[in-house]
Amino acid sequence: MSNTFAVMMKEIRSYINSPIAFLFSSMLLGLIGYLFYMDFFVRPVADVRAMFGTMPILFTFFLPGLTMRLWSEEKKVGTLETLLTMPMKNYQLILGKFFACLGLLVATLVLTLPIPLTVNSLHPLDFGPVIGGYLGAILLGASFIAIGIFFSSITENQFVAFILTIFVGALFTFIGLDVITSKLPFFADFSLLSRFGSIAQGIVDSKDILFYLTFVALFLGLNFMTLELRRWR
Amino acid sequence: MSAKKRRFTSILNSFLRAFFLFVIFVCLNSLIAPKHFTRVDLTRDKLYTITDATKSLVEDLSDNLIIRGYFSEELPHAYAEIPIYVKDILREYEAYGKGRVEIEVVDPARDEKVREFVTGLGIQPFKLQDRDRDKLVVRNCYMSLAVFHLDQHEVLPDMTQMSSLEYELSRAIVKVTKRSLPSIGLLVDSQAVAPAAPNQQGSNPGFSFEMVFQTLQTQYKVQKVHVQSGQKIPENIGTLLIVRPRDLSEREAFEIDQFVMRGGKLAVFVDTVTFDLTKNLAEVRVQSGLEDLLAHYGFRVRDELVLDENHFYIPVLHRQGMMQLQQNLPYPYYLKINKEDIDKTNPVVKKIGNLLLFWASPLEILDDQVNGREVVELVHSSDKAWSATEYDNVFPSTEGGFGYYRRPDEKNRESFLLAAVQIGEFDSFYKGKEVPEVKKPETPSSPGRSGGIPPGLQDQLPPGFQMKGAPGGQAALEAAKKKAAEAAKKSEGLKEKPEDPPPAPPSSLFQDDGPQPLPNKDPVAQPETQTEEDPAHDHPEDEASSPSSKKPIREIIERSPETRILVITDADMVADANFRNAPCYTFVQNTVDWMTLGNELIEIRSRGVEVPTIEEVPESKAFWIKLLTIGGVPFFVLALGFVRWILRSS
Repeated sequence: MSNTFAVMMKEIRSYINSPIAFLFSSMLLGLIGYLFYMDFFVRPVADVRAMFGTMPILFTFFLPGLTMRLWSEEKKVGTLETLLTMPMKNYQLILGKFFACLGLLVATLVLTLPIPLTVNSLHPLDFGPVIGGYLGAILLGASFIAIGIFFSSITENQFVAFILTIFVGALFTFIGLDVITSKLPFFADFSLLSRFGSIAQGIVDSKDILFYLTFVALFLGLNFMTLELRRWR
Repeated sequence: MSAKKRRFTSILNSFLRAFFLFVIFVCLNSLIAPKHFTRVDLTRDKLYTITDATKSLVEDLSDNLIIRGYFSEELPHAYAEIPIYVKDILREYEAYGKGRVEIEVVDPARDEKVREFVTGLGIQPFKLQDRDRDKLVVRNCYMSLAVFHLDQHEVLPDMTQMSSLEYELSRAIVKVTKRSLPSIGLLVDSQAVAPAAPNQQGSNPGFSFEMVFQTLQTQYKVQKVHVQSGQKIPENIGTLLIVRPRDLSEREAFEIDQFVMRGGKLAVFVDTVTFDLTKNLAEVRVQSGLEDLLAHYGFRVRDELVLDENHFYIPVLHRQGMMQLQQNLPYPYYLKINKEDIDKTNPVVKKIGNLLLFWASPLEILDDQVNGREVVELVHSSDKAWSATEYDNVFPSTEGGFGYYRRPDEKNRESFLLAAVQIGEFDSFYKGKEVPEVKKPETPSSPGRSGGIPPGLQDQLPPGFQMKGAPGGQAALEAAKKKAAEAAKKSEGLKEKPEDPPPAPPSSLFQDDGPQPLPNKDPVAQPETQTEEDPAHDHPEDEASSPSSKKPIREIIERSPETRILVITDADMVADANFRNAPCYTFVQNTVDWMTLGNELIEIRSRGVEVPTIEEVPESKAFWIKLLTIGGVPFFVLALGFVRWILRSS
């Protein structure tokens, strides 16, 4: 546990020591705010579902930027071998990096709170769906981070990791679009988007929570296996 | 093992583990999780929580059910939230449908074939107003739902309102999945009058029960039941409403008893006394003829009236010299039943906020006759009520001391039971007795027809009495008739139209104790004469009717299966004069739904779904909000980064 925490803190420090975290946060916040308010005053309904509605697409393109360096950089600079020989388990390394990224995302999401609070000042807001929306956003973000960490572990090239993460993330997102699920409803079960819709609406379903947790576990598990495989290279 | 082989084995192992991980992921999410799950609705008003009744309805589907929403993609702003909400609710149906519920939302305008198909279903676009660049435009918009199950379908044509969506949808599902609903029987006061034609003298809304018949007919197959010639109550009737039973013969009581013994559900709206609105509230004593039967079942209606401090006021006009004044007089005979005096468990009343009863009598439950059945006391008066056998100021006179009622001391006042239901098995009142003979019915005189108001008394009549029920009631009656006609046209009685919204709330009677507005001064709208379809009458051959000449050869059923009997000591609430009052309407409808549809379907009552619209925000305020959120917060984050960078560099 303490090892995981140590890795996490190290990663967070490295994020905030570079401009990455701040750039990532401010751009994401700016876009979330812009996209939300673009329509808000045209159809002023005291509801922030539209804010959460923008998150799947924003996360698809933003979070890979955050995760691409996690393993690729270690590989490129050659610190990975040192890291793997340290007295800590591979899963601790993975979880440390995962939670560091997630922590950064949560901090960014906290900074979106002025939006629901402003809406609430205009008309009392039902905070149930807002809580659901944040829970969904965290789970959705965790899924993208898990995909990103995995692809970062299979290549030294950050750009390749970035592109692969976007591709796979987009795939798992867009298979949930109505156009696709109306023809192939099976895909809705595996879409990050479909699952997110119901949580952001204020319905917390154990199916959806389980989906996100197993999705994260799947990609972190795959990451674990790629690290195991490195021993045999 | 060579290093190469070990490496190969490890790689293979990793791939196998990855594969198993993937298989577990797929199985968990597509096979196991959909069958074992719980959902928590975080919304404040539990907007997306569908009731257990709906859940079990969709969980128990034997075949696939398709719910298709027909919504235009571009809707006026006022309606734009509706398809989103409908989709959300439909997803709940899908979630609990175990793969048997398929939902789809399409825009008929986008596809010629779909448009033709929905037109065939009877779905038409609505003409809705929208504002387009400061111009009002009218758009043709589709906002309907249809439910398909095997070869059955049901259309919910009007989805422009979000309230009662679950109720209407679940009713539609009940209809398409269960081929036929039990019929409702209505046995009304033998001296009831038909609503008079417009401008015809002698309309007596206190003695007409047409509105309840018409309203129920929009949702159920309703038959008027006549048993005075010894007809058996038709077997297809599952629920019987007896409204103001009067002078029923022993044989009629027997038929009602046997109906209960067959498992029929019974609701009795009983009066011991009522007052004729058209004859200065002349007292009309009512002997139901069911006294012994009801007492046998454990109900006794006392031949008294309940008066309550918790009552309504009645606006009364009176002359004072040249002036005509209106005064709101307290009227303790019109009982205002508050929420706390209404049972919180039974679906018939638990969601009724308050209730209004007119000249109600005390009801008693005879414990020694209950025999272990479940008794639910539905409605009580307040504990500041008293009962009377002599009625002061029934016609609230403005002559000296008006509004005077003999009130007992505070300590002698009590709360009276006014409605109760018993659930369980009942023994026949005729167990071990002879089947009663059929008596030739006497021709009763209609109380309301002959009267008319003497012109001299016109100004003294309390308008609350005179008018209540008439104008709004007429509108509701017309609407109900129209609906019924449409329903009849559409199918042969079983295919119903969606539930009508309740009639307009009452004008004067339904206000708080404060001053009440004068009723409409227009001439009293007279309900139209209408020729009603009366299946029991029109097709006497359908029944096992035995003319009075035949000796009845009948076996007596001695014990009923589990059934329900509801007794309420007020029939005036169902009369056309009062039925337009929303709580009366809801009470009757809930009673019928609970008895007929059973289970908890009634729990799916309409709930208001309000779009939380923000009033127009001034442009300058909107600008600052946007600036702070879109620019301010990101700038704050960048500033933090900059400070961090400065600190690190120094």
